[in-house]
Amino acid sequence: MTKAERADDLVDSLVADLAPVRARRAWRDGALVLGLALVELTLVLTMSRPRPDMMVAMHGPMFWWKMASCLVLALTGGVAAVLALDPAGAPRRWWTGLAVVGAVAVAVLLGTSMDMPEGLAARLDWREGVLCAGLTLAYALPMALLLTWLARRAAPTRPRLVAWAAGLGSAGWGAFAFAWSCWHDDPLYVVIWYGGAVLLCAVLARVLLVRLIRW
Amino acid sequence: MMVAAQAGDRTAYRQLLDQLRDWLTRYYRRRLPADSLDDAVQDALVAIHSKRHTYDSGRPFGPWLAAIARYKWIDRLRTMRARPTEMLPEGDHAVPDALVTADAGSAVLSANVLAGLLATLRPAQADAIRLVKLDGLSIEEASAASGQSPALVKVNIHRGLAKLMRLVEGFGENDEG
Repeated sequence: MTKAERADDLVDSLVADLAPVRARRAWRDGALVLGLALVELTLVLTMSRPRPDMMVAMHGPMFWWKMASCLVLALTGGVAAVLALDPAGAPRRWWTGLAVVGAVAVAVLLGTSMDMPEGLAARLDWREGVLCAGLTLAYALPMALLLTWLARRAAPTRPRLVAWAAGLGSAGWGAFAFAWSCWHDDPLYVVIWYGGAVLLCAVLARVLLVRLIRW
Repeated sequence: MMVAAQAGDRTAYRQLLDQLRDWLTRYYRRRLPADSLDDAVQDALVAIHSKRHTYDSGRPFGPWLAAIARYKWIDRLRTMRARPTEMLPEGDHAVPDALVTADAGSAVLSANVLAGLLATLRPAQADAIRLVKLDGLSIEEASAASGQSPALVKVNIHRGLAKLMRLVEGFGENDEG
């Protein structure tokens, strides 16, 4: 069999295998991500115990910094991940935005933490911190699974970018959802434990997701 | 034509694949060694086939095609660098766990079962699986032995194993029910 005949053979095989498909739309993937995010947030807010000092905390700036940082990280990462699923997408600007947002959030939180008078060990409260980091990761899992499923269905031509964005986005959303019931607002605590969970989730996504979404 | 192909129009799809084959040949001729050209073109055609649903008809076709061709080109370069003799990657082409046995007795039983299962596949798929997964030949050797192109060997292994997996899982569900 010549090379041309083999190629013809392959084309015949592919044509014979043709079945109608539903074209992927980025907005549909985005709607799925948004839907899951809202369902998870609703479940968290209705089923978990809110922090006891919520009304007091909402009058302080650190509560809003914590929530805003997590939310912006989730939004930027989620949008970047969905855009990066398009083979011909141009998500580089989202990646740049993600890096800027993360850097600004960490810088602001670290800068604010310098004014705190308490001791380091007390501020970090490692027992609670490990629990917070673990729960942040657990809350990130549904979004990470959805983004993995979407990525496997799509044709991402930048798997590493998708993996980082999906890891950061799902971790950001996990942190945002969990933060409603976490009473810690100390910026150092937030940076170490929330930041550690986000970083761990991103690294895990980078290591595991890339293997799963290559095609 | 891709929009028609997404709707299941085989005539349009054949025309499209013929045109894409020419375009991909020109694309890879400038980027790969001559002996990799045909495999690269066929890999890209298989990728376009399996990812055709990701084309959005509201956007130009060219950038979508170029992105897929480039991705498969980089993939091939990575494979050439990492594996001088091409081997099947794990994942989609791996033998399903359900077909792997742990001891000699069950291996004999499994061989009989496997022979029966292979008989349910199309001959080309059964040949590809037998040559690569059971006889241990490389893709190239299996291609030479079967007369199928390397890309077609991969396609047949992938589809054959997927069908076997469905059969095996079906047996499991029936046993439980």
